[in-house]
Amino acid sequence: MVNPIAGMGGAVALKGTDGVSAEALRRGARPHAGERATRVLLALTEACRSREPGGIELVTCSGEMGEDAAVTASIDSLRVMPIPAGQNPSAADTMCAAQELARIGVDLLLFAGGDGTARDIHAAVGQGLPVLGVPAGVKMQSAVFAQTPEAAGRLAARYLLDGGPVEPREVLDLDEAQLRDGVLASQQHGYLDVPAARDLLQHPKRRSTSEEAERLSVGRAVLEAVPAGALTAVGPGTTAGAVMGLLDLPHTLLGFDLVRVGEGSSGELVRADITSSELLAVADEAYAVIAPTGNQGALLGRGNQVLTPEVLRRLGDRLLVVAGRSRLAALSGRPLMIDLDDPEVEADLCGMRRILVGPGRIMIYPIARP
Amino acid sequence: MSVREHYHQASWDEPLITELGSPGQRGIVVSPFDGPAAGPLPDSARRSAPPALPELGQAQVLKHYMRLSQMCLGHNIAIDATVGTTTPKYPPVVNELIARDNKLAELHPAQPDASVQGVLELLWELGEALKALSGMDAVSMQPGGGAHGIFTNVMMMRAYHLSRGDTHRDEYISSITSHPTSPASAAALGFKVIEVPPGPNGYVELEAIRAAVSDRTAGVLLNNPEDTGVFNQNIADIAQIVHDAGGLCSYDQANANATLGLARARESGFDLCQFNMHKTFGAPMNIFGPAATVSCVTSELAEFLPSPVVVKTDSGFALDRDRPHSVGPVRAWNGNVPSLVKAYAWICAFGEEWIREVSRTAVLNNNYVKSKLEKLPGFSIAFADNQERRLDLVRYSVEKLREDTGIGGDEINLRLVDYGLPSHFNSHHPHTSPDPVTIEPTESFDRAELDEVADVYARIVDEAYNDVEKIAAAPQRAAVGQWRLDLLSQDSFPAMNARMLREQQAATS
Repeated sequence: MVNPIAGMGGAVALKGTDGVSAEALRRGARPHAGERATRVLLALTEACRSREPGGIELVTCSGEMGEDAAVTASIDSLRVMPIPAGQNPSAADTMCAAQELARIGVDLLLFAGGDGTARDIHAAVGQGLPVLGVPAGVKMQSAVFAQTPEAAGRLAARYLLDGGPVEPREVLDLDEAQLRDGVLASQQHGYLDVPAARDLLQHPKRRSTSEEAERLSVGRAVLEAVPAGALTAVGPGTTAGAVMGLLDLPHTLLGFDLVRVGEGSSGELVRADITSSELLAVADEAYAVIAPTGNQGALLGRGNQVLTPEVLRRLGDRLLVVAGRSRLAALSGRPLMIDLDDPEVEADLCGMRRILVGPGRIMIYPIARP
Repeated sequence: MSVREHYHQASWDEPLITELGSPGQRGIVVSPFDGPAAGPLPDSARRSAPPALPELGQAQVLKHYMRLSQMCLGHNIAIDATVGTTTPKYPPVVNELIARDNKLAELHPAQPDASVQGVLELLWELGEALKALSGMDAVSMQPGGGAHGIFTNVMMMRAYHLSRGDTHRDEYISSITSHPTSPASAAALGFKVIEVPPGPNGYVELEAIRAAVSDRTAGVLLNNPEDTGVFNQNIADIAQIVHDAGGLCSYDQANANATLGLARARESGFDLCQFNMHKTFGAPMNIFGPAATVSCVTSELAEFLPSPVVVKTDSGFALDRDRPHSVGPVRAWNGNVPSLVKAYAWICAFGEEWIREVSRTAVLNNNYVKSKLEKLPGFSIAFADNQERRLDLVRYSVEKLREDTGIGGDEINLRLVDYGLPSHFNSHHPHTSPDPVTIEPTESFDRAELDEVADVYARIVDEAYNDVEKIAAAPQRAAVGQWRLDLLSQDSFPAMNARMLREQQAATS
């Protein structure tokens, strides 16, 4: 099942797409959930290639809620469900489709969407039906998602062909209306049963209140790294945003703020909450500061889609990756994850990279694309 | 089950010593010395008022400190294998008696070398033994602790690079699973710190070191095994990568309990290391001293050792102070001699053959306890996918226990003391595993004691799943109360000594 509007709010600074898909389209957002659904199906097919033929039958919704992606991926064992998706598929369509799939008795419900989609599926079918999320939303704090579409494809194939246990994993969602006003309020909406796999699933996002000192240290490190007078796009989250506190400027918690850093601890806000095209306009000279999400270790493609592949290409070495030491250590050696729609940019970013953790303090840490 | 069901610690409600006694009470010590008395101090050096010391009789002093000792879980009374990373082991009482002997205790550090040949010979022999155990060529016994030893090693590496006109090397590499004093020593001397994380196996991978080195690399500071207990088999290759970049390699051997006589810093390709006498070598690990650390270096770095060093001459032994390239003294005189003597006695007691048995027994004991604890519900081994043998200690994780029952490492600690075991150590910062527990059963514990440790953990885990109220109310049978970390803030700093207490009381009255 594909939520075709999922993720559209990302690059246009809307933090999510719940209830604002029309506004996202007006701001020039481009749907990408279908494309990511195609990728998961290609990966699934690839993972089944060496096995007995005819192992998996795909049941999906009509049109852009699934059928289009399946056709693009040339899935032949395809049964399309007669679910009439409206012109603008809504939460009701997601819930209706999930209930229908559960009734048919599918072995695994694979959905491309975000936290809102997971929440709708949870409301419709609850626990009992194995579910796996293909990340296609904006933030994706829930623990029901694979790390990338390809990882989802491999995990789905492994589960469907070899079986294995499922485990209840958290469905989390931020209140997007509050979020647009700068309030971070993450709520747990229950659990979905997800095929157990430590290596391919995304960990739930964890927020710690005892890391303030490390964040301040990161903020000072940013001031040390950015030359005076440089434009800097300060990314989402309290760690990347720590520098804003030092500059005594307001920070958009889930967006990018463009500032000009002066001498000492001074700086001026050029523009708050910029979009990817606004950033692109200055990307040949600007610095950007981003931090991985806590516990998930997601660095790009989760909540910071303003950094489109094109923006990243132009930024090059002026992309400053910052993190608190505890947060990196808590990943137990798992690499930071990137999930972009551009293999070339991804390849440039992967590998061992220097991450600023404090003034005069750098951590070497792997970045990978699962 | 070897759990002490009826354990109950004394809780004396003992006042502070400043609140005891009354003016004029005295203890009497008969002077051991009947020679001529020193003349009176000049007025300029004399107090105008007597110090505000408590006044007590000898019997009252004895009782006061005996009561305090009954409210502790020290080396001599408790099975302290729980205090992982401190290398808890038996400090032989006879070594205390040796170090306390007048022949040592009454020496003055400024005595002429000719009058202290015995202790110089002892220190020289200790140095020879530590050279043999490290593979290094020269030693300094000056540092007064492990961090001080690492700091001294960074000073020597700095001196080495500067002596070659290499002034641009300003980065030290360390790992986040090394002891925090490694990066801290480099930072305190003004260097940048490049940290590398453990890979999936729980130790530093070559790829990370390759990414960390550059022409700015001054050196690397690493432990092995680190606190995960896994020996990093890449160690010699790591040293090679750093050497190829022009850097030096300093091995933190503070805890060498897994490798004594079995693996040496020299063969791992390192240029410097340091041994803590108060950990591996059986001198007591008292909190904040007395400690002693010996820095060991290759011949290329020997000229930079702190001054003085003990040398053997044609006529005996001497302290060599004529060292133009030395980093200088890093503390007064020649180190903490009583702790060095205890370490010398400890090494002599084992000898070359049996010192290997120390490490073998420590590794065996640790794995015996591991085989029991890893089976407990809610317990797991950090970096569990790596099946390599854990050596001197194990980093466990009780994340599952906490998720299942709400009881994590901190809550277990409140209950351990109810069974007479010291609270365990969790992990140095930052934590690389959720809810870590680190236990280090060294060679000093017998099988019954190891069983007791495992049984107490099994009991507490059982309570967590089935009788959680007992843990919630703990400690009930120990002298300590629940920790009140909230009491530690900038507004209410604890009084660490009598003077601070007086000042605080004066400020609030």
